[in-house]
Amino acid sequence: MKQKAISLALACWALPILCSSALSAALAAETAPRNKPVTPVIGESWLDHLHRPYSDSSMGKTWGLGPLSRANQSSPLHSPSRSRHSELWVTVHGADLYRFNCQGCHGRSGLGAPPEIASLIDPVRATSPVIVAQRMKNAGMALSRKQIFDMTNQAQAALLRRLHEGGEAMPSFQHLSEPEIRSLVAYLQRLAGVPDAGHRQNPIRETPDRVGEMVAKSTCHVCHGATGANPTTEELLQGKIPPLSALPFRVSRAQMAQKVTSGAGVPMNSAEEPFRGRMPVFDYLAADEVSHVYEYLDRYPSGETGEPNIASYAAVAATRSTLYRGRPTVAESGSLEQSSNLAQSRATRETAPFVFSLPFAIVFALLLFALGGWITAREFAKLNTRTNLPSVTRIAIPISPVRFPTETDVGQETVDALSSSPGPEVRERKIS
Amino acid sequence: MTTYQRFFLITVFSITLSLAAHAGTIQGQVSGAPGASVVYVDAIPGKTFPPPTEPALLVQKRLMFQPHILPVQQGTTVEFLNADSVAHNVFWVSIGGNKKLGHNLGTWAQNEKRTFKFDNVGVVPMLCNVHPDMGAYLVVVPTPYFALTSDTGEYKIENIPDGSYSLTVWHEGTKTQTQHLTLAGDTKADFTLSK
Repeated sequence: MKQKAISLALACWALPILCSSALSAALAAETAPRNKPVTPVIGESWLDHLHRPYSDSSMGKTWGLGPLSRANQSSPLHSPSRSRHSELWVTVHGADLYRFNCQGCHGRSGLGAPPEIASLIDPVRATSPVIVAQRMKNAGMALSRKQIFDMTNQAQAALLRRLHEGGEAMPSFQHLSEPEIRSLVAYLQRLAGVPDAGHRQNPIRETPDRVGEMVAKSTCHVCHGATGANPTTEELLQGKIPPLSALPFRVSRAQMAQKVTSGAGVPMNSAEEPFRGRMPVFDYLAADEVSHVYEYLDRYPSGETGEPNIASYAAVAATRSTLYRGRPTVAESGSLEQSSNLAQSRATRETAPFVFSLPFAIVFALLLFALGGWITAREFAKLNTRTNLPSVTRIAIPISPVRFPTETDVGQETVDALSSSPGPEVRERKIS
Repeated sequence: MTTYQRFFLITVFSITLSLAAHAGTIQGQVSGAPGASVVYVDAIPGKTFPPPTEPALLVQKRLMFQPHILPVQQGTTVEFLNADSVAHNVFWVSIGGNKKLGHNLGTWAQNEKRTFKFDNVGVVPMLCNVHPDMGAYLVVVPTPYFALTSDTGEYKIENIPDGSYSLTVWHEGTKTQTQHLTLAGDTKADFTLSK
């Protein structure tokens, strides 16, 4: 009886404790950067932000225009593997994160284009105690372990700060989560020749949207603004760079993959366009990665302006001609506005998961604790009531055999009194 | 011209004369090695100088320390300003060859400044751990009588009281040289550096 009450009380306490810890874990997961939500690209292009003309900058040009030689094609290291369990997930490593986020400006080697784009090799090497110690030794300087670790820790902090906050000419990479940063830094160290760095590139499971988000924000957005009208042929001739929001109106998914990974061909006898072909070829991106970008841009349209900037891919595909030019602009295709709203609501539904609010969690936990306390109090009260009952004085019950009042009643025969003695169990059963 | 004016002029003239009689200039040419060097008057026995109140400035800009050579008087506070958009570190492993005086000033971001007061005399090779190609020399000298030569080696140290001094030249690539001279008015002192 007592055990039952105690276990009930324990359960009452364990339940809120478990619930609240589960809640706090859920909260932590919500606030922790592990599950950073996919968000749309917003704002002007990074070059516009820097007031730097495209032709004067090396940014986002990936070291050369036009198709690169086949010899430069991605190594096995540079191809993320699709998860066997689900086609919905893409497993990426530090090297892939480097391709998605850094390679557009810093190039394959990480050396950048000084002085416009700083090399990332030296700042990364500065984070390695082995390299710093060796460098000091070569220079004939004796530094203590503590001094070396002080320096490398500072360099590490500076590197992470750079990644999170960006710099004057470098955008910030706040959209990357902590695990992504860790895996990326491990690859940076490998690139910089830090000993034993490569194996720390933890694999990370990403959604295709997330892959698209990284490439769009870190690579495309350097030159392409988020929103704006689809430029006319006239404007293109003047060198206008089309905004990302106009992408589905301009090219199909396949055309985009072709243009990004190996360059778009120009039909014979077509009019000469001075700015055609100046978009770099990103041969280090796989076609399905470019598809992820296309889908991401379609599913997460930039909502910073009131204009109906994008419609769903399906609706656009229906109205799109197969030709490269003569695509309907936003202004021309009023019918797309409806589907644009559809796309908006769909994206909102997908980007806004149920979020536990902290006050709600606290109130819920407190209620559970109160419930547990109340049940415990009630059970203890019950126990006390039972203890006060006179009939529960089991200790007073003699354990010794009870003698019958008169032996003569049963004759001369000795009776085994134990067999007829009422045991405590019997008494207790009666009481309850 | 009134008597008052005449008196004033004579006073000014005599003061100028007396100053000129007691202070002079050392100038000359340092040759034998390319680039700038630092020429300074060594410690004068029995004489101390108050440290300057104005801080000296060493800027990190375009992945370089600017200036590359900075002479300061003992006791000067030096400000280290990061003018680059990337983070820089400043450390030195010794002052005047004394490794116990090595110090890591830290790593900091753009437009941030750190200061350090240099109370020990000697050459401080400045380095940046983030960018190993960066280097600068802070030359902490014991007197306020010092000069950084031009790239071609000319220098001029002004307002030195007359007296007998040791004049030293430091260059990052050669041996340090010292010569003794007695200063009376303007004096010339040339150096030829050798490895």
